[in-house]
Order: sequence, then structure tokens, then C-alpha cells
Amino acid sequence: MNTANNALTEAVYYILLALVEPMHGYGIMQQTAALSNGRVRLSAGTLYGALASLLDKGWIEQLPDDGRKKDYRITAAGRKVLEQELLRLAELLENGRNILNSPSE
Amino acid sequence: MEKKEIRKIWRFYSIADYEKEEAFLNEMARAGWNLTAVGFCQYIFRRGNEGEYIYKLDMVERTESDQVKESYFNFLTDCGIRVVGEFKDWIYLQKRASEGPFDMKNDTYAKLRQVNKVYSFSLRTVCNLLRIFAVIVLVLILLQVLMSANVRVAEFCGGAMLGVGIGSLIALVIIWVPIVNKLRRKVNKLIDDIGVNL
Repeated sequence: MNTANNALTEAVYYILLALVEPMHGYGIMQQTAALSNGRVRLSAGTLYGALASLLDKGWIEQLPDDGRKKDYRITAAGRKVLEQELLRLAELLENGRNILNSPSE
Repeated sequence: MEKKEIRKIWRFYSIADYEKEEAFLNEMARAGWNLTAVGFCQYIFRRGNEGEYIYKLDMVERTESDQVKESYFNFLTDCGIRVVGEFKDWIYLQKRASEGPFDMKNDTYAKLRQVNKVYSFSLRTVCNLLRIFAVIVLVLILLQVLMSANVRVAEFCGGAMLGVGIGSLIALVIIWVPIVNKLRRKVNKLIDDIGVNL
């Protein structure tokens, strides 16, 4: 399992977010690009590798096959990882804002 | 006169130079020559529109089961990527340039994944070569023992063994060591990058 301090890569973060709705591979790529306004573009190779390792960790699951395209969905464990990541990101954001925006003497 | 539609170009790239090979293919595509087939040191291009496609090299282990390979190929197809050529473990991928790049600009993870594939491929290749040499040497030893009565055969076997041994050693040093060094430098640089920026 993910320990509290493990940062997710941007790719994994967006893949997990996309998979809150069941989706196939190409859908994940498009969703990721849309969510990040085109900034994060997953390569097919990266996505393929990431899906395999997320399945392995049990953070996502494959939905019963109904043909050639495979649909994936986030699991409860995956959701938990995302929530922990949000806490971590919030901490980073808060510290950054506090220090950079503190009025200088 | 009619314009030439097909072009065959001979080029050699070592497996450590896949980025240069990619750059060559993309340069051809920008000039309107699209890759349609690949062979040993051989690239076949067909005239098309300038800059319509982009290309990328990827690797799939030939030892992978057909099912694994098929699932990856299907996945690529779903992503709008076509496999236009296969040579050894390399696959040559084609994508419409209008659908965006293959990778994020600085996707260290994707690059590391690729170097790792090439690295394991070169290791596998060397292991296979060594296995072949070992078999040859074993056969020679056997022959030498069985035919010890015949001086000429025994001498031939001894010489051949020496030749195979020295030959494989030289081949390893000249061909393989520079490739491994180049790949190692790439891996080291990427690992440094990850420390800063994933």
C-alpha cells in the first residue's frame, strides 16, 4: 500500500481521477488532457505501463470484458490513495502560499 | 516525368541510437516521406503529405506471449497509433501529427522505460549469443574427443575453439561495451532528472 508520504506522478494522479468514472484507455488519455487543459498528455506506453501497475496494486480494477476495449474503474483502495494525495498536495500548497505570500517586514 | 512514390533508404543505427533513428524518421515525415516498412538497416518510405504523421520507436519482447503483445497492439490502435513496421523486438509506431505528440515533452518516466527496454534487449541478445558460442564450443570439444585419432580433425577443433572464443570476446568488447556504456549514461542522466523533476 501507499504510505502517506508517497507522491503520485502526475500521470497516475490524473489516471486515478479519470477512473472515478469507468473508462477505457483512450478515454483516460482524452480525459487527462481535458482536465489539465492539454498540459498533461499521456503517451500510450506510459498509460499502458501505469494501468498494469495500478491493477497490480489493486488501485484500479478491470470491468468485465465486453469486446476488445477494456474498461477500468478506480477501487476503494485507489480512492483512499487519491484522498491521501489530496492531503499531501494541500500541505504543499498551504506551505508554499504561507511563505511566499507572507508580508515581508 | 512522374514523381517517385516509393523510396528505399539504407541506414545503420545501433540499438543505443534509437533517438537518432526516430529523429531521422520524423525528418523524412516532415519532408513528406512516410515510413511503410522496416527491415535490417532498411527503411521504405511512401510519398505522402508533408508533416502528416509522426513516428516513434517502441519495443515489445518477442518472448512475450502473443496475448500480451496483441493486447498492447490493440491498446495502441485504440489510441490512434498504428504499428507500421517490426524488426526484431523493435516496433515502429505511426500517429497523425494533428492528434498531438506521442509523449509529454519531458516525460522522464517514459524515457526511462524505453532505455530499460533497450537495455534488457541488449542483455538478452548477448546472453543468446553466449549460449550459441557455448554450444559451438561444446560440439567442438565433443568432436575433438571422439575424433582424437584423427590429428587433422583434432587440430581443426582446437583452432576453431580458439577462434570462436577470441572472436566472441572481440565482438563483445567492440560492439557491446560501447552500447552498454551509452545506455548507462542515458539511464544515469534520467535518474538525476527524476531527483529534480518527474
